[in-house]
Amino acid sequence: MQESSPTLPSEPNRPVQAKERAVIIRTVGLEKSYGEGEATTYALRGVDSAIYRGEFISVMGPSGSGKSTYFNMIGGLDAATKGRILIDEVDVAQLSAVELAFLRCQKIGYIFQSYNLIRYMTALENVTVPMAFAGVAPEEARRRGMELLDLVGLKERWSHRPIEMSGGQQQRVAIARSLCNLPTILLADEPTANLDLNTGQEILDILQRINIERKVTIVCSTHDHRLLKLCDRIMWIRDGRVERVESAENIQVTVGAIGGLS
Amino acid sequence: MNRSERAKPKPIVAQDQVRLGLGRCLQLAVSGMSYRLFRSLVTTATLALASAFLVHMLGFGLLEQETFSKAYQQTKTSRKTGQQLSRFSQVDTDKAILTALQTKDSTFCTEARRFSAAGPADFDAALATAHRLAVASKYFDELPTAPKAVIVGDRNSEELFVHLANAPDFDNMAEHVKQFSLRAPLDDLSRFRTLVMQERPALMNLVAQIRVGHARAIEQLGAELRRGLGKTLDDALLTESADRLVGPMQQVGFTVTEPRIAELAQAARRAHDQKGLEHWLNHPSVASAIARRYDIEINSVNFDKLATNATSVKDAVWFLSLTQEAGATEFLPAEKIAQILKQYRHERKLVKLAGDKTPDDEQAWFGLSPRNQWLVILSFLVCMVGVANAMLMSVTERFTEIATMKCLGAMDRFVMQMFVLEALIQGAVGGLVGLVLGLLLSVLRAFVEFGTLANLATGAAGAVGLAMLVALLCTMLLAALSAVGPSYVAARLSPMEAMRVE
Repeated sequence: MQESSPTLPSEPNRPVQAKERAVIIRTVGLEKSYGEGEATTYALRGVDSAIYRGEFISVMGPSGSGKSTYFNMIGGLDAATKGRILIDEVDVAQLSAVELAFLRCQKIGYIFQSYNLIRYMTALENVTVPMAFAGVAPEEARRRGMELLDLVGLKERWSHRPIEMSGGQQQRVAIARSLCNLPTILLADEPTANLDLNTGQEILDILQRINIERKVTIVCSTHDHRLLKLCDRIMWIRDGRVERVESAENIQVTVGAIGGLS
Repeated sequence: MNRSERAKPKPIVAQDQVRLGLGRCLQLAVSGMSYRLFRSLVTTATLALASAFLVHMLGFGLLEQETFSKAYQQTKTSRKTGQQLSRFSQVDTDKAILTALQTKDSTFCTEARRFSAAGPADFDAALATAHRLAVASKYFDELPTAPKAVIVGDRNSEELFVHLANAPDFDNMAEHVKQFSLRAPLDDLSRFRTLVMQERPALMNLVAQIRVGHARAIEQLGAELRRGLGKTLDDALLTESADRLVGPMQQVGFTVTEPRIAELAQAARRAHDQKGLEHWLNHPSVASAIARRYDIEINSVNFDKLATNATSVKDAVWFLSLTQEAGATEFLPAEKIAQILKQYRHERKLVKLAGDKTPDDEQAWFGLSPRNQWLVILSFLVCMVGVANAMLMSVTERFTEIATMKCLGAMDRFVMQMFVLEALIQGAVGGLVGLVLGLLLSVLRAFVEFGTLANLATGAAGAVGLAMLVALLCTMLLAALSAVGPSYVAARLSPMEAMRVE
């Protein structure tokens, strides 16, 4: 059953406890515009949304729909021109630069389409960088780093630089990096876009495992239809507004078309 | 919705945010550089050049200054030695005595007190008079042309004072001073009158006494040496050791010490040897042989030319044989002759270098002339522009990296620290390389300009070391300053802005 109002949350597709229905990210009347006066372009025209703790939600929409803009905002990477973003009920706009850095370091993990690894560092060093910012001792950081690399299956490649790794391996290092400070939220911006089918599948498997085992909220912005079955909810964005939010179990996926209801 | 969560927002404790340790910063900065080797090489090379330039200017300036000052000192010392030596056999002229009194030469004054047998009060009064005379002379020297022509005419200062000692002439002069509305000599005409009429004659009396006393001392010294050692002064200086001479000399009133006599004796011996050689140069057969061998005019054969051309021991041996052929009975060994010639050349070089220049007393910034100061400042500014440009490029092409860092939780401060630290390292490395280069350059240039005289400058080693340290610090500062601007701007960007720039 399709949701008619974008504000009403739909049921996640797994049995959850009451606590898990807490809202971890909320946007209220979110707007983003560029330019002024006549030449103003609106990327987002008033988005109200709520993302629950512990769920796996995909944000989908055509290019230019404001999907990426919305995505960046909820990660605290960009500032809104109007409206509020509340992460754990704390208004992001009120945070100082130090608090924002703390947020990005310890509460939110980021995964980018282009991996964004630091080219002159080895895989292990890349993974341990956020831990250095969090004040973790070097030995402890290294130990945790190796653990995480093991989690994503790259234990033998810890001393390799990004240039020596394939796309999929780089993305896996990025995932390991994003987890190192035990964040509660993971933001993945088109994680499988630059990868082939098999590698992409591996990545998605890892993401799902993280979501289930570690109870990390994952917000994924994507075009990939495989996510439709993997995630709990899907948010469709079009023309700077949320078109609809629906739960994944209500969707049937047939290759070649994304159907509504059977 | 969990009520308690809503009421109590999760605290974000800012104090938990960490300052990145210097070691970690350093580590990150260094790893960045090794990846970016080419671009950082260019920056480092620019910095090395700036540093080398600065070190060279400072270092060479210091070396040059030191060489000049040492050369000047040495020529002054040898000139003084010559003067002192002559005093044992020659009386000073009145003029020389007067000048020595005016400059209050301490050695001279001690001797003069003894020679003149004047009381200390009288002597001090005479010194004061001499000083006032000098001031008055200066006054008359500095008169404007018109009054000077009338008052002084073409008399020298001695003649002038003698002339003014006559009362009518003095009054004449006073008239002229008033006419031309000049200030009075010594600013007090009556004072000047006393000086000219009474004090000066007294002074000249004293001078005469000194002269007489000096002459007597010379005579006495000669007699004493003849009695005690059976030699004249010249012979005694050449052959006797200093301790046998110091007694007689001090007895007659000269102010000397044993080591000083030893130095003077050495100088006397050198002069004597040189004279001996010169004597043979006048011999026709010797002169013509030299003219032939060195292809010079026979009339211009002199000691200087000989020293210029006869540079090796073999030449000395040949010269020795010439003198033997010409009938010399006693001769110096050839090595000694070569040494004398070498010494002469060395002193000639010193004199040529020091000339009549007195060393500048003002240190003026590590020995840099104002023009050179400007040069250095400008060159550093130019380098700063170049390095800043390189830093800007380095920062711009790393925007994605900065954005990533900020996504991972780096604070603005850290990003800036990273870049400035990287710049400092480049400054240090470049500076060190430039230091070595610059030092080599300045030493080389010193040797090229001064030849072996450059060895005189070893005393400046400490100052040069300090200059090098200063240059290194300046280079590092230059690099860091160039990096501050671009990195500050980059650090303030939000991650999205930074990524959008791509």
